Amino acid sequence: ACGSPAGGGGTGGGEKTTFRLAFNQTEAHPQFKAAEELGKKLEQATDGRYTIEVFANETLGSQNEVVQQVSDGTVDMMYIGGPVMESFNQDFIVFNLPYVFDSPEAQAKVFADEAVMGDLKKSIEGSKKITVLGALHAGVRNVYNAKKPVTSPADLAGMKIRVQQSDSQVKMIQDMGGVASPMGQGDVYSALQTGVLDGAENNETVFNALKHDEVAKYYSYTRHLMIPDYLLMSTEVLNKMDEKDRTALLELIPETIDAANKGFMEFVEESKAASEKTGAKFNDDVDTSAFKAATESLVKASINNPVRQKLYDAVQKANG
Amino acid sequence: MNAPLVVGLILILGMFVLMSLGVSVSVSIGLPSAVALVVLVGADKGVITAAQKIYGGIDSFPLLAIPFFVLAGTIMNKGGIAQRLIDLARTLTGRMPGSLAQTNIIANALFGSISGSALAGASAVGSIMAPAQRKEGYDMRFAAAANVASAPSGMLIPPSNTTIVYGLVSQASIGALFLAGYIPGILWALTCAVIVWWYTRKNPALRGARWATPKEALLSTWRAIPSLGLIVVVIGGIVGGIFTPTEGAAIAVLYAATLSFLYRTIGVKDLPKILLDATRTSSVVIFLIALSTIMSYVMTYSRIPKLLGQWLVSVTDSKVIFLLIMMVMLLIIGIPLDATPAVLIFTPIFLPIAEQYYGIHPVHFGMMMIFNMCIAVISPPSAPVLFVGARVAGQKVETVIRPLMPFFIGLIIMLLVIQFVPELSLWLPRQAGLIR
Amino acid sequence: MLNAIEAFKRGLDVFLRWFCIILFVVLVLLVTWQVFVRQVLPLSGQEWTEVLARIVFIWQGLIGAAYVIGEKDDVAIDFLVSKLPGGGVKAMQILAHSIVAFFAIWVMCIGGGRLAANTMDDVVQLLPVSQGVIYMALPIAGGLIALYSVIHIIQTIYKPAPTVVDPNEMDLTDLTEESI
Ligand code: NA
Ligand code: NA
Repeated sequence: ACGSPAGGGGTGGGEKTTFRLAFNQTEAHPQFKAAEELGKKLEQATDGRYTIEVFANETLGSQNEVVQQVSDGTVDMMYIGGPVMESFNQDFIVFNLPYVFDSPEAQAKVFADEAVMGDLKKSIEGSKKITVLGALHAGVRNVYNAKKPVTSPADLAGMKIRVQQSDSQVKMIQDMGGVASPMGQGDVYSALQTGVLDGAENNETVFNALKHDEVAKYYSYTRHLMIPDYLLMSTEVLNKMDEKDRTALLELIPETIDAANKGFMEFVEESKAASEKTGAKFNDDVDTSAFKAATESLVKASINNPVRQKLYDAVQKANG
Repeated sequence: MNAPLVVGLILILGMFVLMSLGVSVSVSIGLPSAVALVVLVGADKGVITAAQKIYGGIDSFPLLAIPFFVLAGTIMNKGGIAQRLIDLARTLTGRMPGSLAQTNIIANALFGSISGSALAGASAVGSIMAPAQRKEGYDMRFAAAANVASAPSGMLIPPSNTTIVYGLVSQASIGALFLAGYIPGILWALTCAVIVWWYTRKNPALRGARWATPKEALLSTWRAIPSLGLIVVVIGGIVGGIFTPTEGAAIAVLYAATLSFLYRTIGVKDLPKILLDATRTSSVVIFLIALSTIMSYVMTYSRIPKLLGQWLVSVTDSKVIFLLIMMVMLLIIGIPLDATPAVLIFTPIFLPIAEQYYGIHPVHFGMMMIFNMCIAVISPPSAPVLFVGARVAGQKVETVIRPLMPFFIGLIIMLLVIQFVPELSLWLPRQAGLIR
Repeated sequence: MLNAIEAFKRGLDVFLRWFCIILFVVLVLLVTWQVFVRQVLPLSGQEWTEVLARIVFIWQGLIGAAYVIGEKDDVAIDFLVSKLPGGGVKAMQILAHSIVAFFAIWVMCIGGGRLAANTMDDVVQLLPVSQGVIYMALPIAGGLIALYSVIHIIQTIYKPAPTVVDPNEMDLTDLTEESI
């Protein structure tokens, strides 16, 4: 229920239901635009019975909070980062490991393959009442810092690099040669500015959007992570839709993801250009094979059950 | 009836009815919000979401600065560290009218500039100044009001988390915003200083007997050096990149405790009482922030902010009226909301209107928005800074409201000045070449 | 009966006092340790400090709030109520305590308890506890607030109408003096 402005009630009787979709980034982000577009198309496809309103800028709460509300059915849909999904099913870790995907194309190929993704996407419907509608490309994460261009693991020695609060990412930065400093994103800008942190790691869009390019000028293409985002929906809300409307929604998902992914590539270029304008230096002369070798043990240790092995093998096949 | 209207009515009526029944302010905000949520999404989901918002509202590392700075202030007070600082300020301000209250204002601006938290300043500085002011015969309601009113200046003076959040949502340069904050922040403190001067100028009791001799000045400086060291260590550590402002608050606690042990003014036996004292002050505020988060959520969820923005565009096309209505709206919104969530929720709604219709610069807009929210966080009935300020001065909240009014009016006049003189915000970042 | 209740309340007060005091010390030490490990002695495997500090902070804050409510020291605006005649003050105070108890039971105990139950299996990164265990702060603090509110109601019923103290007459030192 709860999607309609009046809330509480069902969806019958020509009433219009507006799904709330929570998003933690700004309205300039391609995922925001893709979600708005999805809302418009959904409205057409369901003769105005359903549409989507996107709540950007984390106004409905942090991802950790909102995912609980999607589970309750208070918030209908959300975009979520890969690491948060590990809290509900640790098998999601496979896609969050360093150097698993060789390219965004390989990633897209895996995510489009229902034979690989089907079970995983339904895996938390029982426990959390959350359906994974799809997986999206969310950029390639690279290391950036305030000191110097990084080309090899030795350059990271002694550098305090901010990571997300995640076991595997702490281990990853340590293996890559740096000092892992988990920190909430809110403190990172000033920590970089004062030198509490030497650097952080993220994709070009976040580097620019969070203004870290103002305080950490050296962006080095370590290409260590390609962590996806997921589009989630409350299973209860999804099941409550008429079958025809539900099918219409599900059919719109692949093109939505496609649009978001394409938009993301352009967004990366725009963000990079904007950062260069503020004086950020991008270097691509990085010995990625050295970093990849350094993190191999972490990958091996994390692929420790048949489900993960199967997912990992599928990725390897897609890498070609 | 439509949902946003129902929600709005439940929130406003519920809050005022409960408050006038004498229910604690936090529950007066939390209960109507939970009821509104239940109306929107049903009983089961409503209470679970409300509970989660209580937790989520305080699940933030930077908030740890509140108990730490409260504790540091309490220790400095009991350990005599504060006394030496006050003696120094007394010596230096001599026969200036209301010198202790003026010291309080300057200390709040300095302290707030580092911590970026009005609460931390009101608590730490206020708890240090209050005993001295009481001894000198200040009307403690006025003293508390001066402390409360001056506390938010540090949210404008950089560095400031609220400013960073605005920068992220508005896409304006944080460097430019930081520079832009100096003049409004200093004007804020000056406004308070002028009002204190006006109220104390005819009261001979509230000034020293004479100006200090150079020898006295040197002596009190010498005695205050270890106390000043606290400021040096905390500011130095933050600026020098050794710790974050939040961590700096914990370091301030350790420094104050160590120094008090060395002075033998505090023993291990005194610690439990000090810790409990600080717990009292900080828990009240933390609980209020936690419960206010339910209200902030239910407003966003029922689309009230968006509707307000749409309404604002439809009622006027005059820039002056737009700014005035927005000012009043933000002051009302500030009743339940803290500055940072308010900036997060309202910037995407108001900024596009301001930019597209009225050509207001995003950096200038940020300053008026933050200045506006700084006034809201000290405005009753729900104002954490006011609670803390009243408490450390030993006053009831409602008795501080009246002496706070002149400050309130002065600050609103200053807000209008900030709104209608863009150069006050834009001149510095322009000089630095950060904006055009 | 009233004596037994007051003895129980005193016992609970002492327990919660020490609970808050100890958590506060832990909080200061955790954050200091975080700085120390980063700047002075780079030990590995200490990345959990910030996550744990946040959780200790929330538990300390919520349980501390329950304790403060137990002391009737939460901020309320009671100048309207204090203008009522003695019996009216009593009735209003009982009503106000009941409303707080209702909120604590309904939102914090029931809502918070179900939130905790729903998340008992969710993993918290960097720490060996589940999200549900951490959310237990809500029903526990809620239970304490409700308990204290009920005690206040009983005390209000059996005690003479209170006299209102002029805050300007309050002595700060009295406020902070109590046995621990
Ligand atoms: Na500041
Ligand atoms: Na307020």
